[in-house]
Amino acid sequence: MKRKINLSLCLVCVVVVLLTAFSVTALLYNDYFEKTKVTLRGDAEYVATATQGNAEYAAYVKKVLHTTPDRITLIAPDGSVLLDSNTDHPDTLENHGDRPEFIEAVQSGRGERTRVSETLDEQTFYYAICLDDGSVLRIGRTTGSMLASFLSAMPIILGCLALLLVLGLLLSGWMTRRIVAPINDIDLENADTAPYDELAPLVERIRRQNLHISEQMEELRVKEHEFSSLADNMSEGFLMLNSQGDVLMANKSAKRILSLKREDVVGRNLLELNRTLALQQLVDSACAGKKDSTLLTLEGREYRLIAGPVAGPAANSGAVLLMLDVTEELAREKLRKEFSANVSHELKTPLTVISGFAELLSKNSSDPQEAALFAEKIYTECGRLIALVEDIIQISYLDENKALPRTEPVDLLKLAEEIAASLEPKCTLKHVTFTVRGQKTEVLGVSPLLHEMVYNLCENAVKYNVKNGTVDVLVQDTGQDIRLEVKDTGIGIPELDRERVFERFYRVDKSRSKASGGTGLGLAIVKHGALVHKARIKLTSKLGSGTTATLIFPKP
Amino acid sequence: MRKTFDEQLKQLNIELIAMGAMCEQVIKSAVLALFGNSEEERHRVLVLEVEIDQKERDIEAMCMRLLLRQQPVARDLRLISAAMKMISDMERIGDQAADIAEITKYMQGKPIPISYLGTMAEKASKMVTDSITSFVERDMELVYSVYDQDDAVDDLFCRVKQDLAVLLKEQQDAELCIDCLMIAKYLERIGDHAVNVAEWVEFAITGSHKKGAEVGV
Repeated sequence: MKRKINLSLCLVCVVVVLLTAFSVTALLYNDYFEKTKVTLRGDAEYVATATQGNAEYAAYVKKVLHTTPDRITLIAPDGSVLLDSNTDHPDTLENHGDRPEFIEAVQSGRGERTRVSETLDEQTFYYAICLDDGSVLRIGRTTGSMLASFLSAMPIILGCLALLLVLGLLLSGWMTRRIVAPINDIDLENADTAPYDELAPLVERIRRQNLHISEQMEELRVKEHEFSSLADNMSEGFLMLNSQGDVLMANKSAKRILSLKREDVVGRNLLELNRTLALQQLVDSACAGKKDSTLLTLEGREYRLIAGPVAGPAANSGAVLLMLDVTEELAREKLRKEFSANVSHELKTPLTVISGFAELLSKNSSDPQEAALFAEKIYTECGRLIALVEDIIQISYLDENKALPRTEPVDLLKLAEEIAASLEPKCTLKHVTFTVRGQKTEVLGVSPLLHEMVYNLCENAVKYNVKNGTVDVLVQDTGQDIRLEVKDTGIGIPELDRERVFERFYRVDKSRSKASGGTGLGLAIVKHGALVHKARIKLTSKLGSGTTATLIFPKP
Repeated sequence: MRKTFDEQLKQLNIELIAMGAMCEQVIKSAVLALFGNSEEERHRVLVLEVEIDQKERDIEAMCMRLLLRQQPVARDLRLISAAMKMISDMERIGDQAADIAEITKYMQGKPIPISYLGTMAEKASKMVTDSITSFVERDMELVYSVYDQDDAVDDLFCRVKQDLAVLLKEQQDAELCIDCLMIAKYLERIGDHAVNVAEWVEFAITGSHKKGAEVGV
């Protein structure tokens, strides 16, 4: 704008100077030329009057005027040149009979003409007078043409022009600044008043748009904040990538899962952040427009990665990557698989035995003594099978996590004493001393389940005891919680297995499992029962010298 | 013009990292093939090795194109020339890993008589990872740590050699011992290549080689 105003001002300057110069020249020139004409006419009259009928005088005049720039010519009535101030040999000149001023003079006594030279730079004014003898006296005066005088004045004009231009530039610069300054001073952020009326609609428009934009920005900011806080609180990792694999967004979980230490992950290529090939292949296929998922172990945890292409305006505008922690899920799945495999196996073992003895019975039923033995074996195995099925039912019941059946206050001491009584035969068999100590302590619980739990613990304590060992059950209220402690002098549990004994069908020593009986589900039931009662299990054990299992119930 | 050049440099950077990632994986798989005698991992090594070779050629062509068309100077030139050297070292790493996988085939899952070969493999693998990471993060500290780690790997190689000599004198399975020696040598070479990569990273960052020895560029 400044430039434009400047230029226009300069252009105006130039045009004005040129026009002025031209019109002044034209005016002055015309005036000057008219005066020249008048003078020449006078001169011609003098010469003509003096020359009338005096050929000698004419020669004298010619001699005198030989040095003047004026051209004096005496032309005979037939047009031939008699005398000419420019040349000493007038007879070489062509016939002047066709000159308009000559013809005019012959006809009316006086004639005049202005002729411009062929080069346009000068013009000659001729004045002709018809003398008494019929010859014509002509005087011509040559002056520069208007163009020539204009051109001769050019250096001055140009000088003026240059001076004016410099002046005009300075002035126009100053003026432009003055005009533009208020426009520059408009505060676009909060425009309210326009410096010129012409700008008022524009300023008003800007003001309204500013308002609009700030509203939209605010809205966007709120939305983005909502989105990022939602995404950050997701436990799943969430990554957005553009088609080159540069990270557009990563939530906190994604950063944690990919163990990204740096904060500025946005804008960096995923390869720079994590170089796992499987991840890269997944992203590549997603960027190529194919949905894909894979399992990946990162930092010891299992993740399911799901990558999907994002269809945008462009054919492939990026990918979204979702990372789900499936460690527990996979472990549970593994456990379930193992469980069903174990169940089938455990069920099959007694069944094989039963079917074997039944087959023997059917073929060889002559000896009643043997038959009785077989029948007894079948009976024992059936008992085992029933116990197993009961345990499985119990554990599936606990698994289903149904609402707790009716809870009631249960006296743990009484429960332990009952169990001690029911284990009496086994104790006698293994020569184990079973003692129950403590005071009457009640917990709120499911009576049959509690019975099962304590029974399993006590039975294990007896079962895995040594000959002449002891089992000591202590029921006590510590004030903070209620404890039931089963302490034995048995074989103990190796440290490696301590975590696993509560798993279903897990046995420390597989070869012993048949000899000691049991289903392998006892401790699993204890664990689940404890979960139901919100109790904790503490297991301390020393290999070869005994195990202490403690059920810790929260106080009601 | 500069913008496209920057794009291309960024692409080169990413391609280099991708190749580094492949090298990391190929070693990991080779080690798994060695200790787990896993046919699947062995196959994976061989596939990756071919992919690494292809990647080397791709990156090489890319560098040539950049040199020819953009006539880079200063830091850009350093990056591109370092890239051309780095890829040949990384390609060698891939080859060594493939060689290890090849040997494991003949070992037929026999127990490895050197107990700390696993440690050695781990260390060599970490050197490669660190050298690639030093390139990604432009981290000079990590470059120096790669130099330091090489000494440990070299020492382990000497130990392997001595222990195998003892075993050979005791008339142990000679073929297995020689295979182990080869594997140890390959691991040691992988460590050396990782150092080379780290050196080129240093060159790309600082313009000088190995702790300030100037190179006229």
